[in-house]
Amino acid sequence: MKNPKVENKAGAVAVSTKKNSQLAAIMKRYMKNKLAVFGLILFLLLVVLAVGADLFADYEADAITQNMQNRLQPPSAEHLFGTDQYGRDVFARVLFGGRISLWVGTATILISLAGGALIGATAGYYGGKIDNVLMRIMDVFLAIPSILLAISIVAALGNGMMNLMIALSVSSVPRFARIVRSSILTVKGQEFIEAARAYGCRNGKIIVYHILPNAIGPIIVQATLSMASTILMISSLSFVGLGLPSAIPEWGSMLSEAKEFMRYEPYLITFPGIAIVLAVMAFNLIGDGLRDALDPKLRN
Amino acid sequence: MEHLLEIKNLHVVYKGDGALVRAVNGVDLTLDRGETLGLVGETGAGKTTTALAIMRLLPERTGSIQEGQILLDGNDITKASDADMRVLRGSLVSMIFQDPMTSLNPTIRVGEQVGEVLELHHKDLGKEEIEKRVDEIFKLVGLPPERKSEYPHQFSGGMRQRIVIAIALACQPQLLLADEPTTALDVTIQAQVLELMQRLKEKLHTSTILITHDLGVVAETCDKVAIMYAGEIIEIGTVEDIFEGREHHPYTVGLFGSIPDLEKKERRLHPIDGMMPDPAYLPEGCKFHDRCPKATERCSAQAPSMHMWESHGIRCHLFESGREKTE
Amino acid sequence: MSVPIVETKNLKKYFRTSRGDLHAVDDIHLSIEKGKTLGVVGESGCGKSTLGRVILRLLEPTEGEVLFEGQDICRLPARQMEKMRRQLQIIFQDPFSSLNPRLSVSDIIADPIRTNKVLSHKQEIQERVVELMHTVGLSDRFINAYPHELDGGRRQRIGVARALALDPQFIVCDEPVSALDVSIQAQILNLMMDLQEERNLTYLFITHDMSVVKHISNQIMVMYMGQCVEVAPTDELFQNPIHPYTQALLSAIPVPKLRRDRGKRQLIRGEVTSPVNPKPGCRFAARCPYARPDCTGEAIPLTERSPGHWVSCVL
Repeated sequence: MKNPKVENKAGAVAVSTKKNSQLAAIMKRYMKNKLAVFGLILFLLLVVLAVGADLFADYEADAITQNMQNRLQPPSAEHLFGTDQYGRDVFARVLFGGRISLWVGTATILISLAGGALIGATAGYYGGKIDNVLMRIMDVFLAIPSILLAISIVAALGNGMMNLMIALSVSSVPRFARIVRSSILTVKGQEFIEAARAYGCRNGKIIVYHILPNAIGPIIVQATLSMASTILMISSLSFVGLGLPSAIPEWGSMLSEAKEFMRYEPYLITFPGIAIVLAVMAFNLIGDGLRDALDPKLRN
Repeated sequence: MEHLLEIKNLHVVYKGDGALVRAVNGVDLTLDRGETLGLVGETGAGKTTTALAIMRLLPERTGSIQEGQILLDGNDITKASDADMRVLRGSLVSMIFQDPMTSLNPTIRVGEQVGEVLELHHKDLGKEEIEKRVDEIFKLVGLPPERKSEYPHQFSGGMRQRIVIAIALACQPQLLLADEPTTALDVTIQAQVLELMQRLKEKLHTSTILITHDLGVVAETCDKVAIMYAGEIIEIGTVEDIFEGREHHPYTVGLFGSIPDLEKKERRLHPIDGMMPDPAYLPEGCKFHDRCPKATERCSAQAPSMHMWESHGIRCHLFESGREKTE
Repeated sequence: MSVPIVETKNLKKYFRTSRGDLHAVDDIHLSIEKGKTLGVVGESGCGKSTLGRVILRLLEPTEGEVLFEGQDICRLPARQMEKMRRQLQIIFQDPFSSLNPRLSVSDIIADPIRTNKVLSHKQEIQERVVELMHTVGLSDRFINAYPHELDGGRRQRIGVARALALDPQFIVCDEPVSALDVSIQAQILNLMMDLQEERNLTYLFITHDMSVVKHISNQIMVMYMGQCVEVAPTDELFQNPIHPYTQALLSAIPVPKLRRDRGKRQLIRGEVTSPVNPKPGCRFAARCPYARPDCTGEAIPLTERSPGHWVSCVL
């Protein structure tokens, strides 16, 4: 061009030289939000405790094996959270219960995210009849309260970890499908999508490479917030006896069993209760923090 | 005679994310009754900020007038209370925004939106009186009064801008700030709206500051022109000075060189290279020096002051000792 | 006269709406010679952007043909159309929404190359991207930048680089400078004209700005409510506009010169409505100062008034 030197001089704009500057900017915004950072720390703590549960207790000996001599011991140096009516260590059970909640929760979210993204993206991108048919089916699922839906699925399929995951996933797919679809609709109309079509991009690549990364913000937020509600659902289902077999340590079933002893042994219900509250709070805080950090309009 | 509007050494800053954005850096401006001033410049030159400062509508948290005076009808409004400003806005000074789609409330009938301004400023008027005035204003801007009970979405773009003008002129302000009033409109509609504004100006004797990037619009409607660059007025004068005068600021020359001439055939345009500096990091000396084809050492060190001959002023070292030295 | 590289015949695009068919593009015949520019002007909603998209087959036409080097691209099967797309590119108006905000500059420019497997080695692609950036006057220090970090002018240059990445022959330019400030606008116009000369590119240049279209076009087509009302070589159109709409359009342009008769122009009444189930005849008749009874009722064909100057008007 006529005067290429200008290109190096006049532009006093800060430009990223590293490739992942967007990620860094999002991290920076996230770290500014104290509550969100607190949520993240809480979450990491829960993960460490759940993953490293074996360091603190023995699964078979402390959490599963019944030990009737030791039943209903109040909290002490030996049993930090006391023991339950079968003499099992509550601290150990809360730790291992965290494993179940986090694992089932994560798996459920991943399954429903994949399903929801597929359905939502197809509906949003192609529009028209496909959109109508898919979204009306989703509406049917949404019309049933998700806990009721999960209960009926588990009731039909029977107890067990796998069935629990299926039940929870089916009931949260519609929410993901809706949110993916609406994100895609806003991105779809932009000119860079047309540009991609003009240079021969096929539909699959357009959805995966050009649309989804731009729609990822609301989806991540929905995922973290759903994580919180899924943990609650697991506990609720276990509480009513439709989750996992009662021998397996799980926060909800612990609450369920402890309710008979609430009056004289309140610690039995307190500790799993606190665990649920902390986990749900961690995910809600992270979700809110991410929503703000990912929204470019709320930059400052 | 006293000027209707006199701006002295106005500085406006925005405090953003750490950086201090110097949007307006020492603007001096006067406007007399019945005059139309064209405020010209590119995006980010500080035109709209100047207008918002006159309205005292700068975003509260981030924007502030750092220095300077704005004398409106002799009173310094930089010191006026919010309550006083609410009275002034609409009755003494009002503003038209660029986008007629978003400056009207979509859920209120257009007649009521015009009537609301009247109600606010003339508390003594009865309901019927207001209705009568609304009808008059509608006729004045070329809208059928029968349509006053319709909603904004039922009107086309040009009609909507007429409604916006009607609202702005409802209380017959003495000063009208029009921020790119025709940019969003098609040319034939733009011509209609400009013609309307011209007619209203003659009839109501309103002074107008017309903010635009379109030199064509300025040539057709303005008496005076001020060209802004990086928050400063770099050239000011009558339309004759700017469009027919021989001496110009190098930036003005570049601005004219960027517009394809309808009458001449030229293969290449002659724009200014580069672009406006980031107002958060303004260069030392003359703010235009790093794009200026005539820049010298001095330009990067010392900021030029405005050199005036009669009505024409240029902020450039080249014109320090008069006009003759330039060519 | 050389053979046209792009031609449309009887091209129509109707959109179905609840009130009836919207005739966005109605019976457009055009032809552009290689290396030339056809300017398409008209007000918003006249169908000019739709026309550009139908010509690139980003929208399927309701009727008619789009010929590229004599071949009807609307009848090409999907595979062959993908190959054809390399020849036909588009530059958009909005420098914000036309670039994917999540991709870096190098990915934006490289994507057409990767998609069409023109080059496969990472190194080669990178070199090509740098070369393209230099072609459009962008410093390669922006190669890892993201669109939001750049200003409108630079962003528009990226859009041009992306369009050039596949070495196309024909580019639809949809208001490429309308969103830019005048000095940046002039930089981009110069760039586009230089590129046209160097690479013998053919442009369909869509705009509402008469002075821009005059500057860049060899031939101009004026559209009104989906139809072509006048088409002529650029100088001829400006010196001798025949259709009343063209005349009104030309007289409405604000010229940056002082005129003695300023403020006194030929204004046309009313505004454009959308062409839903339009009646036969001239669509401009309702606003036309010279309208006569025979303007409506039956279709008014384009007639050649002087060589290459076609007008659709009864006058």
